[in-house]
Amino acid sequence: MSLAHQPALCPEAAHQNAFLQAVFRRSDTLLGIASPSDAGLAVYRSNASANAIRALTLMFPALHALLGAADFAQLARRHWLAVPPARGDWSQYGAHLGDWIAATNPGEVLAELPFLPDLARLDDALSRCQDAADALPDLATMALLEGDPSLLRMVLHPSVALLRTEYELVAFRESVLTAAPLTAPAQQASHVVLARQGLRAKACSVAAGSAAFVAGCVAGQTVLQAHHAALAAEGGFDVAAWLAQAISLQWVVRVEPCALNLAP
Amino acid sequence: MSQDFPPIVGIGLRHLHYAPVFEQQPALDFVEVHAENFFAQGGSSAQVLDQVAQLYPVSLHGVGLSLGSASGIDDWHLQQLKRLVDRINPILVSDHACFGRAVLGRVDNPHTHNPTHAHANDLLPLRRTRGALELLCANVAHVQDTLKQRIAVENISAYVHWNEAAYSEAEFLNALCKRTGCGLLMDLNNVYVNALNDPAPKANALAACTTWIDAIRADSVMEIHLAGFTPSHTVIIDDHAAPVHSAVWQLYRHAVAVLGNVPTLIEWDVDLPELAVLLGEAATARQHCANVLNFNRP
Repeated sequence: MSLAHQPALCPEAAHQNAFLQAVFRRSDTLLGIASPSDAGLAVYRSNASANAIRALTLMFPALHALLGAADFAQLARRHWLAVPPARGDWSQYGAHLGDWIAATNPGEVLAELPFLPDLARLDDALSRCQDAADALPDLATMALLEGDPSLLRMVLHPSVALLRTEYELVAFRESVLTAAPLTAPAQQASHVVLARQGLRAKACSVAAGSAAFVAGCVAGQTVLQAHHAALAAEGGFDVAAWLAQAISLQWVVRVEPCALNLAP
Repeated sequence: MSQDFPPIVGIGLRHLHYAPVFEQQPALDFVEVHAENFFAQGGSSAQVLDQVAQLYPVSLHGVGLSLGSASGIDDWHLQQLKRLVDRINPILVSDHACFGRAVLGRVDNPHTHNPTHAHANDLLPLRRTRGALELLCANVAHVQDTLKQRIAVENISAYVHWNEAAYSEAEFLNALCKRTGCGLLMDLNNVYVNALNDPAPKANALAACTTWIDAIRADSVMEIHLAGFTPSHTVIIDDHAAPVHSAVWQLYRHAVAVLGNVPTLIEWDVDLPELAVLLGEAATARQHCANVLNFNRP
């Protein structure tokens, strides 16, 4: 933030803060407004909440499809009022929706849909995966894996991320989006890898060892450290099978030497 | 008045029209995109913008910089914009004379060291006071210094009117342009909607608008926006969900007569029609501009 001004000290800051508080229904008072205060404020409130609903609808397609437009709009509006955007870019919004649903149980929705927070987190993770940076794979570097794994690091695609959920939601989410018949997802701790394949963000359920290996790579660990972590999580972890899958799913960008390993 | 070069007309490019524009590649002088829609570092939106930039000159129109904010410019937002500007090399960068970002936490507590900022993601009106002008000028100067280029600032539609105003809107915008060297993005639909929403008699709306246009420093105008609004018996909303209103076309002809051949953009953001409808609006703008300027296509 530019520090050219001291916002709390100038009259414009007081007016703007009051206006924003009124838009987010923290107050009904606009300072220094001539006309038409009530009707004008209603327009801003309506515009802003409609924009929020539209933005969240795009970012949470499975939640929207599962709840239906009316219930989703109500949920989105409540979330927007409770957790306002911090930035002027909608794509940065919504990361807290899952946690907010879990914490507030809006409309007591969790009684019927206890997996809703995780579904929101999965939608959000896919949305962020979609926007991640591009990277071209350099698969020729895979030949380096013939060398000492304690001196090598595996660089994954910038879109690769991990999500841990309490329900098995990847297949369920696909069913929601394709309007297929739904069976309630199993309550089973699950690991999901998010990654872009081409231009499309995809979610993939993985075993604990695979998740640990991905986590190690993302954290900058050496291949050896990531492998040890994977074996600790899943005794039968097969690194060769993981690598074949990871390459086919475009998770891996390259292998590179790391002369000095500072990762824990 | 006659001009040697033809009208310069573009359209606001929105998601629904990406595919038909790539397929048809209509003759347009430029397209305008919302900058924030392309802040992603990679993926499909970045690829789309690269494709667009290969076909047309691109104008980057921001909606979230909050140029008049007393809280200053969000450096994260500005850095995203700078990265996009450096990548796309747009013909114009613009945003609005408004604020959206302010402190939502307690403001009556002088010991609050970590106020909570929030963004309305809407174009909230600035007071036209000396203090507001100072803030707007400082923020615009900061943006121009960071981007290392002149930007254009758009007049907005406002649905409330502040009691205190040291300047008319034209004086306020003229002062901004003079002090910062920025340009004006003149949105004629906003001017007309504001006139209709003004408590003064509606019969004077067009006259008020032409007075507004005449009061603007002509050399500051870098682009004109044309859009539609939905008529209402109460507050008229600048929703960009309709064809350009006949009164706004009338204002456009007046603006061209006063300002000359200024790049003109058709905006349509809600309830988007078929691309052909938007292109028809662009053709109408081109025709009006050519008629006023006595330009005849060779």
